[in-house]
Amino acid sequence: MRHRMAVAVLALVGLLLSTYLLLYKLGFTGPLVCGAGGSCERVQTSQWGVFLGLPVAAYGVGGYLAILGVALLGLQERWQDRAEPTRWLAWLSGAGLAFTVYLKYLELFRIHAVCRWCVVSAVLITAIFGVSLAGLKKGKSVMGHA
Amino acid sequence: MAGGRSLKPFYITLGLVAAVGVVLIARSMGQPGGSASPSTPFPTPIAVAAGARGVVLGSESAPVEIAEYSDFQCPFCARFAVLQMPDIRDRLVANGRLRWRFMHFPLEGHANTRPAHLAAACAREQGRFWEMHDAIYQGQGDWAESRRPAGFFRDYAERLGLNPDQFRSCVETERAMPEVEADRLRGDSLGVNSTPTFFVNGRHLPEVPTYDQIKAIVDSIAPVAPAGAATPNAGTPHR
Repeated sequence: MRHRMAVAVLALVGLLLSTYLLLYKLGFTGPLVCGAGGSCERVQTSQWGVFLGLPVAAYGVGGYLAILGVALLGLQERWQDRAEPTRWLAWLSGAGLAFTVYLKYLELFRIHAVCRWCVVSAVLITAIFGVSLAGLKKGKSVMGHA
Repeated sequence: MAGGRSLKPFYITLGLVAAVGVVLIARSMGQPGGSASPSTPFPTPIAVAAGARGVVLGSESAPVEIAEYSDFQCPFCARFAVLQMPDIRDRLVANGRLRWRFMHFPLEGHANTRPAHLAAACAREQGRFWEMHDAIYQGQGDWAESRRPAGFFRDYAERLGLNPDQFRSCVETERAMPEVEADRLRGDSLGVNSTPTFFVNGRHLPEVPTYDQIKAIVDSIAPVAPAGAATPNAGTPHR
């Protein structure tokens, strides 16, 4: 169950980060605390800051919330020994990682600016995906020994 | 890992992470009214007027100057231009209390913004910058995602009665682009990193103001003279 705990903590950090970026996008915060250079604001205010009518950060909020929810569900007694939550976590974080790769492509090759917070989010979703895969592998090997 | 009791330290950790995050986010939201955080990259005050370019609207002797760094494809800039700018022009610029300086600041991520800025700069050649400015912002929804935005700007130029040959040659040779670039570089040197960004008499304004807020600023810097008193600064807006 340790991997689900790790995923929950990472997803919570990602959720807070996405919420911060979303609040900025919606105009509820001052300038982004992002170090010198202004790359975060350039990325956020670019035409790619919105995807299918919603701020990109909103997808982050939704995605991390779903991952956090599944991880917490997987820690409940009746789900602890079941493999489904780990599988769902791998699918969700895999989708998140794919979206992140697309966003990184935009930052590097279209916007020509890299947002520091977006990099942190990319690291988080990659870590969540890695931990989820490790959990899947571990689950399979446990089942193999059973 | 069996039972809720062994999960208690985990939930405490999760709660602590959440609490720290919420506090940090709340702090970033600043004081009521959404003012800038102390980490704002703008030193204040800034001597923005010296050597600044841009496109000026209003009397040179107006007591207050607001410089606006704006991107034609930025939706926040369009909202400001469409909703606030008409009142600002009619009620503050026209009576000589405020001078407005538009500074081109095309953001790199906006694929169609450069031709928009070029079109506006080319309209300026013919003394019609502000009309083109309005047309571009009002039509932003039409051209922003277009694969051929230049056609829209040509239509605007035609509608505004610009000399079509002069406009076309200006766009094709991009001869007005250096002034756009100069404004952009000026903004970069001041630390501008988002649009719209405003400077009031060289001092960074950490929010997108409404007409009422701008009027309050102008009132505080240059109170209206009592009725009957001379108004030496009144002047006709010029381009």
